[in-house]
Amino acid sequence: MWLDFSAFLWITLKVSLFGAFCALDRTALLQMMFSRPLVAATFAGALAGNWEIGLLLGATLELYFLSEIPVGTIIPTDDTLLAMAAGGVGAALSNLPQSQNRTSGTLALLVLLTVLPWSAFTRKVDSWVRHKNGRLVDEVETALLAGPNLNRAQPSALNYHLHGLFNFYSASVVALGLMVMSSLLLVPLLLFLVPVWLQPLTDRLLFLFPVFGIVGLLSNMNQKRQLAVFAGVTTALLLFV
Amino acid sequence: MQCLGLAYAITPLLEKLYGKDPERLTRRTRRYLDCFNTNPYLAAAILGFFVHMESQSEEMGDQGLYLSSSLAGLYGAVGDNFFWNGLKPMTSAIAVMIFFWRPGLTAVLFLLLFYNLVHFGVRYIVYLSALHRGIGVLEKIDSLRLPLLRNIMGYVTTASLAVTTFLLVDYFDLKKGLGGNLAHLLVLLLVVGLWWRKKSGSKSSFNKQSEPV
Repeated sequence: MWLDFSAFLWITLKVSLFGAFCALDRTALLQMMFSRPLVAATFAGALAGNWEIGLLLGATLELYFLSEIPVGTIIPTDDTLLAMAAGGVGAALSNLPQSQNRTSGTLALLVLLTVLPWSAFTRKVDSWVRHKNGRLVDEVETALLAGPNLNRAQPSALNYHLHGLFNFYSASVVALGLMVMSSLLLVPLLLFLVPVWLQPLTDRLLFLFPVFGIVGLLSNMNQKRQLAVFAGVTTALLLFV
Repeated sequence: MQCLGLAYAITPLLEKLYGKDPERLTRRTRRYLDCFNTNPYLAAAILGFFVHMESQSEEMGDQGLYLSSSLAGLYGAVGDNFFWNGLKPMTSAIAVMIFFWRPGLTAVLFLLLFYNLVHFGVRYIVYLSALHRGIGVLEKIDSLRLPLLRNIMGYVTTASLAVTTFLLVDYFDLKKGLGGNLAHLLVLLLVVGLWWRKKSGSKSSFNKQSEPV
């Protein structure tokens, strides 16, 4: 029913070690949108052997978490880690025998149901790393004061900066590993429990995630004219398409 | 954490200016470790401004640091509004729309190419402007009309979301047994109903939490 142990371990390692680089793009490095769920889940899916289901999961999560904005001191849910875990698990399990008579919609839904409960955990991890990195500034100050000698002081500042990046990376590896392993164990069980006759419904339930995302984004808009545009476009599409 | 990144970024200049005087170099490096928080993209403007000021003299560098808290707040507000509230939602909404219209890697490519073209463009322009003009970068950022662009992007985002709502029906094959227009209408009613519930303050299951720092 489950993946064999070596495949289980290999997928977990691959997605965690490579996926954590995408997680770095989120705040610590570059911010070139490699960390967006659409990109991260597709990449994780490709790592695990099926980018198409990764892309589906990425598109679903992209809208779902888009309304969470990292403005000011707020740390939103780490949708990169969730997307990486979902994409990797979805792709790995799409080759299981019990997945063969299931469509990608059902598999994606079950993967999301096992991955999304980790949302609060990802926020805690992000917050913990930031607190830890915040203390690095004091350590750099101490190092600078301890050594007026340029050759001692400057490399230490550089090293502490890279240490902050390493903290982000290692925390992402551990968090991803935990999420991937738990989902790899739970989803096959759910696939076994959900009857095949329920599939027409489970296939379609996935559409609720983008809908929630759209609602979240619309709620963030405080301009009535934007809502008028939404109403106008949907009415035009209903009438003319 | 941004102050450590700032100190890291400006270290090559400080080494060039004060490399022969280790005590001075340490003192100047410590000055750049003060609390610093702004939008990460518009931080390029502040970095350029620091380089411009510090290159002139140590006193000018101090003046630059003194002004930086106001600049950081201003750029934080303008940058967050433009990038996080405008460009990111718009690019993502269009990319998802492309995915539900034509599933494939085009959506991913669009997201990466469009976003990075704009964000690297803005970073490059504001950094160079601050480097050459110092505080004059404010005029440059003003001339970019980021708040106006953000409003336009808001409309594009909304239109993309409306089209995506429409496309979801076809992608998830919701027409089966309902008929085309009825399925579209039901999904639209669902969106409006959930939006109304969320707007009126009800704590619904899809209300997501955020962690304060």
